[in-house]
Amino acid sequence: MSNLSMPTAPSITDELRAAIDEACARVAPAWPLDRSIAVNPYWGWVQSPITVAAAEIGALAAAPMHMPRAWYREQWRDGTLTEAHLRRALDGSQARCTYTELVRALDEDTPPLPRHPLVSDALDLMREDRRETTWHALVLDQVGRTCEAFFDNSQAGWNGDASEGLYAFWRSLARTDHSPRLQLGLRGTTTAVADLPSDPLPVIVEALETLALPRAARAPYLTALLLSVGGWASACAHRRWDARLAGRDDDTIIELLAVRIAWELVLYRTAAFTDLVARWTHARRAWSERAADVPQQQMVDWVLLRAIELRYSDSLARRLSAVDPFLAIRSGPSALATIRAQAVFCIDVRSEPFRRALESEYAELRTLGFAGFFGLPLAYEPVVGAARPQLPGLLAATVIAEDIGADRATSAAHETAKRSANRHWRDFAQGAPSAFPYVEAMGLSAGFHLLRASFAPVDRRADPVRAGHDATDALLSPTLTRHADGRLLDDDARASMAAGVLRGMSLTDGFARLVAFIGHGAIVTNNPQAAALACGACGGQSGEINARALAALLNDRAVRDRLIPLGITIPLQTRFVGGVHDTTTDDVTLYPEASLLASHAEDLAELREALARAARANRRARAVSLGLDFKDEQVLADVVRERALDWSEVRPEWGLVRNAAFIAAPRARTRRINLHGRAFLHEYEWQRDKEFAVLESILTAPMVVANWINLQYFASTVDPERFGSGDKTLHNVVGGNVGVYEGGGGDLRIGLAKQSVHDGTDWVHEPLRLAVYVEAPASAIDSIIEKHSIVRALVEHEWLFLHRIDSSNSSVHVRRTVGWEEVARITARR
Amino acid sequence: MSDRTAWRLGLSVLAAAPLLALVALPTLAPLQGAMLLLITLVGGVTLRFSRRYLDGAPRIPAFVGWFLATIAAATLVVVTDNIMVLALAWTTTSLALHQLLTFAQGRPAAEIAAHKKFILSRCADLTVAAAMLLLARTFNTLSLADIIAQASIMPVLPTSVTAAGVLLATGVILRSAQLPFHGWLIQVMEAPTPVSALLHAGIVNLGAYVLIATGPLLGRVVASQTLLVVVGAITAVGASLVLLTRGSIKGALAWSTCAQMGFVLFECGLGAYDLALLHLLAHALYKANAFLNSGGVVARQAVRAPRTTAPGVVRWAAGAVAAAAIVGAVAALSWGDAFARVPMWISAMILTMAIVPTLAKGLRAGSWRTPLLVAVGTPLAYGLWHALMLPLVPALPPLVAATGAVALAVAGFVALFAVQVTLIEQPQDALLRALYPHAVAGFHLDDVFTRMTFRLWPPDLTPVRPESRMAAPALVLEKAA
Repeated sequence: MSNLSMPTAPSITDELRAAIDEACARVAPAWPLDRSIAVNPYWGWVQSPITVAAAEIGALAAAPMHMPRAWYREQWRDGTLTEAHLRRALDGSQARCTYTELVRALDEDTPPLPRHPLVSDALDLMREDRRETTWHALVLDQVGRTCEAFFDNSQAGWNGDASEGLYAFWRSLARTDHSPRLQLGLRGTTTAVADLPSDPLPVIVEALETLALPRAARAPYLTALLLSVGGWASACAHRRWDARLAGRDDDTIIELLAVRIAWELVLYRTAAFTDLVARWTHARRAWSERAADVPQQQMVDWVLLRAIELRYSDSLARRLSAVDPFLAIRSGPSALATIRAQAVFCIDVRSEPFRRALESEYAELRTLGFAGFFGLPLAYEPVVGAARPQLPGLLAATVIAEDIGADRATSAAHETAKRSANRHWRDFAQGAPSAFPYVEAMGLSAGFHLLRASFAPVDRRADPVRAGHDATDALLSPTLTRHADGRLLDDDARASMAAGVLRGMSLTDGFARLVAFIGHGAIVTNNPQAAALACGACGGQSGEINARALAALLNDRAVRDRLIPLGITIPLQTRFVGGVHDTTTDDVTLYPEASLLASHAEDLAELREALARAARANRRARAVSLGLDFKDEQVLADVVRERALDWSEVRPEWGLVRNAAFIAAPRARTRRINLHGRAFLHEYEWQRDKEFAVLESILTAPMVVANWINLQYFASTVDPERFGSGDKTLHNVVGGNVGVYEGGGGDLRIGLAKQSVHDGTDWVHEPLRLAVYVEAPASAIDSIIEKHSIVRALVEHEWLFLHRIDSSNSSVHVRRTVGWEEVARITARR
Repeated sequence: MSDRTAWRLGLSVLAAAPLLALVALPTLAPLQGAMLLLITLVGGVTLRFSRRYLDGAPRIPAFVGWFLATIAAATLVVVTDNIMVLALAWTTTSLALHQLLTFAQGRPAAEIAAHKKFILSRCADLTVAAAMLLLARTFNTLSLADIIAQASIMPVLPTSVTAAGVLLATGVILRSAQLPFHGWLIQVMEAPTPVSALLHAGIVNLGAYVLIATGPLLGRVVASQTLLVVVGAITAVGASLVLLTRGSIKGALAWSTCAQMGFVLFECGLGAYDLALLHLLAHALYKANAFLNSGGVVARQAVRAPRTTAPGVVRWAAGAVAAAAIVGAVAALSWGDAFARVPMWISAMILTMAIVPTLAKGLRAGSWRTPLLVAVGTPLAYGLWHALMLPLVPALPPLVAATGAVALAVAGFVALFAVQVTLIEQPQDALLRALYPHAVAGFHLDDVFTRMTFRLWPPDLTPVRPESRMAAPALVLEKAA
């Protein structure tokens, strides 16, 4: 092969830059494990119709966006999927297929999808000796090892110099990496690596020119390269996302692309096959022919998906429209002067059954739903350690919450000492050669832990939530203190933040004596993906901090005084309390401020008792899905708690599995309906919403977060290989918190583990696109769709289905590209 | 059989095992008793862990069956006195474990790793069987106790025993994942976590047990002792270097086992069977716990203080003086007669080197409580455990391994210490930068071995999961080519 040693750096054209940007923009970010939130892995494609996106992703990465036909076939055979469902789906679709074809397709298996061929793939097919590993595996392994070393910041005791960026880091490793020669007998790769340009962009230019790729084929090829290391690409994309939220930028993802394409170039230059490019071109041509068939091939699958979606959403629409339209107004929070308490929960689908249980246990209580970060865009600064964001991933933190109280200094000193001891022991245990004497001197004591963890696990529940806080910190309370840029938060700023939050939850009058904000978290043990069970709106943390900070804010006299001119008068006797719902055990803990203990003792006791009763009822209801059949309440409670502390438990709870709907309406609309924990519930009364600012924020923030969660579960189910993280029992944590491998190395795995959506026998999650129901006038919704391209893309490209509930007659309409179409109306009232 | 029944049966068997072990204890040598307790403890805890962990996995009855078979065979290895039964049971352990290693089906990486282990283990079978045959012929008995008794009255061991010793040591090296035969141990994390725990804590150390049990014989064979010292030390030092670069928790744990097994073999080569047994037992418990608990690393790393900055030359010097003084004093006061032996001197030296960074960093950070606890507690615990282990092992032979080899090994540990100090003081030192890519690549030791494996005896890779990323490229390519 010609040796183009150190060519003059080819200049990058705008057209090429656009292709690179397009490929990078396709990759959705994946957050680190300790603040992991649900992400719509198709986020880079939402500006295209979902059918187009599915065909593209499907062809580029052999990534399915549909359940296998066998899954539908089973439902068809057992009668849960009927002719009526199929016909209904066919009616509303533009699919050019008949009912007969659809039924016939149910008997067939899903046709396989193609995958965009890479140079390494072409090389794999040309090797004569198949008794070796593949180039595909070798490159993935090497890129994985490089990224592991590059991203690690806490596991390894010896890190290379990552300051020059990923591409330079890779080059420094690959220059002496002899595995291509030793494993596959290919000589000269190290020299070829040394001859590569030293910057990432020139290597991409050089590779595309050397491989003589036609212009139109560039973006798909670059995208396919990134998707071949999709997990690591997502980690890079997160760096970019974080940087952009902070007003900077980050090009690690371009560097990863450079690394991957550099491998293609190196293999091309060193492999002694003259017709490699010809073979590869041939393979690409064959691929593009197959790729062109994919949309047609997937048509049936879209109708099948729509059939089960409509099966769910039609029935929900009917139930929503069966509610007396005037009930909504009569029983809104403002209408009831007699209520004794209000409780605001996160919109999380797990809140719905709990709220239902609580309402039936405590008649004088009203519940509301609101995003679990309670509208406070905060970063929490623990007494020791770095601040961490506690808000949706779409936003940047603007205020800081920290623990204030007389104990702060003591607590910080205590915590610092503990962490430093921890560090000393770990360094000793994992150092060289200290690991040898460490094992001899201290190893036997691990036997004690082994037995304790097996037979008498210790409750370390404080740890994951507020890392390092002890019971001694009882006097500390999280409080908003300053802006993220360091300026103090004055009373006016705090009051305007409070007003925004209260308007957002449609709670601007009719305050009860006691108002509780109840965030949620999950107590689990030994679980790398614990954050997936925590509050996604709080950045994968427990919502405790946000709930308590909001209660403290609203209990503040200075804030209340300034709320009055803003049109919100909180009665003197009203007090707020923060709390947290542990979704694993269903226990709810309230953290009242000291001043409430005297004045609201009775109210607190009453609420606590009701919460305890609701917890019992909800545990009972959840027991079946957890496979627990204990009659005795106390035994059940104990078993559920034991599971939470069990270090071998891979399914402590089911998280947001089966999520399928998002409803923004007054609670009265849904109060009588059992939504089976499948719906996100957002309190919303359009009559109070001046200029529909609240509606705008609901459709642009909570609805988008719900879409991210919904499509994360969806993708982890339909495509567990790429967008799910595989078998939890093989998980291997990378870099302390960067992500997990499934096994020893290779690509980082993103999304949910199979155990989170599958019970071993069946899929527990039913992958449906989110059905959104908003009780608001059509014109208001339409103008928001018009104004926000993201909302428009999600709705019109069918990444979710937006419905409107008409307050005047309770009819339900779905938003199609052409306009609103009625799907349910109850004419005769029973 | 239903999964539930399988778990019940399996766990009942393992719950009964400690009771049986207690009954059997009086009839066993203390060494055998200690090993028996270890295997039943690790086996029981790991199987109990698996019950919830593998909930919903396919083929549970098979898993439980092979798990019990592995434990039973390992138990037989440590309780038998018959050297042929020992060899056979050892082979059986390996064959049963093989089924567990490929439990997650359709994972080519797991298949390859298990395949490599299979080849090495069969080679080890041959060397061990040959060693046992040689011993049986020489002493005309299959009883290990008899063989040891006969040999003890021989002033000079016959050549056949030397040969048997070298063969046996080779078998142990092959089975204990020593460099460059370590690749499979690193890669079998393609199996579920509890299988890793069982392997790393209960099975891979059987080789060290065999060395200790045959100590009165092997301890006198210069060639095998020297071999163990050299291979053990190279592995301990080499694997430690790679381990330092590992960014995944299980990768680090696996390389750590490799290094720790090297250290045990090194100790066996020195004839320090007391230390070797202590290390074997302590490492097993430590590693079982570390594997099973590995998912908690995310929560743990969140509450750890950041790394301390470089202590600087003065603090290093102060740390070194203090470490030597503390270890010297504690050893002199509490280690007793043992301190007079060469292996304990080497241990004391390594211990001192181990404590220096802790003290230097403590001086830098201004925290003294934990560093002092580490500095004083470790040698104290060392002395205590050592005294407890002494009665469990055969009488300690004098040091016979070649002095040059021992000196080289010690030099290796000193070099490792130097790397560690430099890493803390000057992480981007030029020499370290040059060494780093090689350490990340595992010094390419496994690449060669893997290629040879693929050439000589390719594994049968049946793609059960065609979607797997490790599998060959997609269908359309095959058609196109």
